[in-house]
Amino acid sequence: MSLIDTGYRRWTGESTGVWTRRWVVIRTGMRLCLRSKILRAIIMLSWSMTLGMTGVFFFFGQLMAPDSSLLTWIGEIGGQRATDVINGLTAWFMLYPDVCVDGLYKAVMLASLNVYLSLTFFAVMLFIPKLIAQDLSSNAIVIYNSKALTRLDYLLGKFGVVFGILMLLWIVPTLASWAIGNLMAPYWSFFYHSLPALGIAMGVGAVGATALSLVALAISALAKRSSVAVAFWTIGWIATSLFAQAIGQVHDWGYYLSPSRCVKSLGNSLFNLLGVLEDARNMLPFFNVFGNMTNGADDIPSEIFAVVPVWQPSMFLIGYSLLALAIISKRVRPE
Amino acid sequence: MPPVIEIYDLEKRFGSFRALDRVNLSISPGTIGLLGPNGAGKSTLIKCLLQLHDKNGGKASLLGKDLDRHGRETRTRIGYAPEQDCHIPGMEGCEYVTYCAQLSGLPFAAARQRAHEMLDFVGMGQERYRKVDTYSTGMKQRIKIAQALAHDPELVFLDEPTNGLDPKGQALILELIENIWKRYGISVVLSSHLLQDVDRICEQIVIIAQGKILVHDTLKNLKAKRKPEAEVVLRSGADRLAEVCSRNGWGLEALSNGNLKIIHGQSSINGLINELRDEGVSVLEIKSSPNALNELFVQALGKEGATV
Repeated sequence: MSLIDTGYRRWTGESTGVWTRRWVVIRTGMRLCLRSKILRAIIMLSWSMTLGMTGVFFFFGQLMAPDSSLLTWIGEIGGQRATDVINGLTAWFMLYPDVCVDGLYKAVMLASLNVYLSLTFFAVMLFIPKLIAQDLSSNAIVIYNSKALTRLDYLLGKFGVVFGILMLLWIVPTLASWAIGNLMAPYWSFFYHSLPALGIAMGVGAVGATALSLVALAISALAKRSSVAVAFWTIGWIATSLFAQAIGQVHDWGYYLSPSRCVKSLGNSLFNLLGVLEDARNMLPFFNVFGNMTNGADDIPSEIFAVVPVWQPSMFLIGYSLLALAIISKRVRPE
Repeated sequence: MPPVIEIYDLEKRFGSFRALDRVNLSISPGTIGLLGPNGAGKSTLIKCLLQLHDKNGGKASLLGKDLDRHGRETRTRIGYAPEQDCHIPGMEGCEYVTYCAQLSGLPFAAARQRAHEMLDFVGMGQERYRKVDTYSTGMKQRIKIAQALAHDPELVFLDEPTNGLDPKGQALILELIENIWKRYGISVVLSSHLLQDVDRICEQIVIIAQGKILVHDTLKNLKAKRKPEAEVVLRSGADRLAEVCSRNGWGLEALSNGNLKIIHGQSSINGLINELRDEGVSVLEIKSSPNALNELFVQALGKEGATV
């Protein structure tokens, strides 16, 4: 008997819903992207930052813990000077936990935002061709559209792929470090004092990841070859950053010519480290001995203290997103 | 049985070019051969029905559902194997078919099981665990059919499914397509330029040219409308054959391949065979209407613009 006689059985099950089918596109797309060892390594690097951040949160949490073994041990190793510093910090935390915990979480999360943005650049570079470019070049787009999906379903799925990977790279480690840091903190007060910082980190993460995901999709849709998509992304990111830096020296709005700098600027404004320092200077005794960090010290980049109206970077990010959507809708057609 | 495809005044324009010009069709279940010269509008018609192209006017429904209102849900019951390659890079064959089934609404476990069944069905073995990018043309054709059937559709559109296949592969795929309707009741729309393929497996014929439907009927009816003829390969007795034809009023033509065409006008060639035997005409081979579809096709195109 030939192979074709081995049988065709009818399927009588219940069809899945449209959201399940969209989820299938997201899950399968992420799985294909995560087959890259380098991408997995970048995500691991990002997750390893969770440990570092958790370590910082744990250390400062110990400042409020009575009879902390860690602080005793540091005092023994570092001598009297270390003990004095620890006592000073402990006094600050005990007197003004709201200012100290909030400031600490905001500073650490803002610093991590800059690292995550750099990792995003490398990560997206690795998988950007797999988003839309390869579907266009291999005609897979015809298959997607001939199935029980619309163009919108397909694009939602592809958006979910980038957004999902940026979540893994960016939002999950932030959330994890906050959660573990709070679990290891001696008092529940850490939880609500650090909540605003988490809210801002999640907000900036969601807005930034959304805008950058749409930009990545648009770039992927512009290219029909993998190498071209990678080149567009790499050159685009670097060129717009440099261009924004140059124009930004002359006009403030110039900084927003780069989507990544818009996200940074949004983060800087919402975390408002300048405000945190002002609070500390006004409330924490002897904090003024550190001087004016916002314009004096060379080792602290003053850009992170730059606070602009939130609507400015937000409007530019919305503009980039709309432009990206226009490109995607024009380019993503079956043939 | 209710029609599987209903089209009213369907129009599709590319700029000023009318790819489909107010097409009207009502096709009942079965195997349907979609024929037409290059650029006739066959693929455009299929793509409009699958909503891969936006139509400029008219209405269409598949399996009784209006496409404008139920397009996405209708496609859970439709399969499509396009003419061109359309794999997803980096996926293994089995993974690809499973994914396509999931996109058509099957849960993962059922999709995986059916993917294996369909890959068996189209005659693919261990190649299913190789990346689709590495497949030969024949394998790509087979996997396209497998993905079109993976979700157990009620109607399948196959665009040039035997392209690039060797004769054995062609025979296997044609047998499979034939069985899809005859044994499993899945309607098949076969778009092909290979008339013998269509002749072999299709019950209904749609001939399209310049965006218009020229012919739509069952193959049986179309053949019945023609004067029956036979192609004869002679060993000897050409003179006696000419006498027989003259006596019976049958037309006799010499073909370019050296054979003779007899237009006998009878429903069966048995009478012709008996006459030739009685007259002692020595015949090597005799075939009844071997190029009927080809001639119908040419005839229809000759009358271009007129609906038969």
